[in-house]
Amino acid sequence: MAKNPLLTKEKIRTKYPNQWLLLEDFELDASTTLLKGRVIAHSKDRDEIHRALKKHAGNLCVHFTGTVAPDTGVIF
Amino acid sequence: MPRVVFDPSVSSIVVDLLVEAVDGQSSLVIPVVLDTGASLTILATDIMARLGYDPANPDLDRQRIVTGSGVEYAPRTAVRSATAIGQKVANLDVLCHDLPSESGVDGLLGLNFLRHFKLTIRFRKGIIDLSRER
Repeated sequence: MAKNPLLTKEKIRTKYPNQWLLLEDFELDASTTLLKGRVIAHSKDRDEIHRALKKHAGNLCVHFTGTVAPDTGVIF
Repeated sequence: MPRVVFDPSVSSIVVDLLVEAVDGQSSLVIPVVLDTGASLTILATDIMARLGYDPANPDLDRQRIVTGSGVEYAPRTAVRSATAIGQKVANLDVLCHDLPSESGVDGLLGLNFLRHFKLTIRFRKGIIDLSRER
């Protein structure tokens, strides 16, 4: 099966809005920030991405393209 | 100097954290909240397990943590290294603890990482600089 294309973070965020993603073949810049990657799993459900992590070896990147709802405060 | 740009309008600052596996042969990059209110760095248990650490090991120390909703206990261990905002810390202690998925992150980048560096946050411009003190 053909691999998904290598996409920039901006294109990933446009193509997979408000989703959890698992990426391979990713690149980071000097500030450890994601630049591009190849999507191998995507879901609205973080648990699905955590399960997908177990099926893939090597260096991987988990990325979330959504944001916390504007009417929701965040306190940890 | 390593610099990260963020959207000043968002409710929390999220950065990418690269965590090295226990065998040093692979790594994961995950989203974490930069949290100067957290004394320790926290990583999700699934992430730790995928990296070859054993968060379920009953021999691990259990750290008492005070959160906004009460007191909890979480397994504490060390990762080989963690890198964020272009800076790396080896042998970093972390707590294995899950945050709600609605947070959009898989952990917190706490003071035990940040205190190794000079941290500058320019909130109005959305810029974070992290450099080694001279």
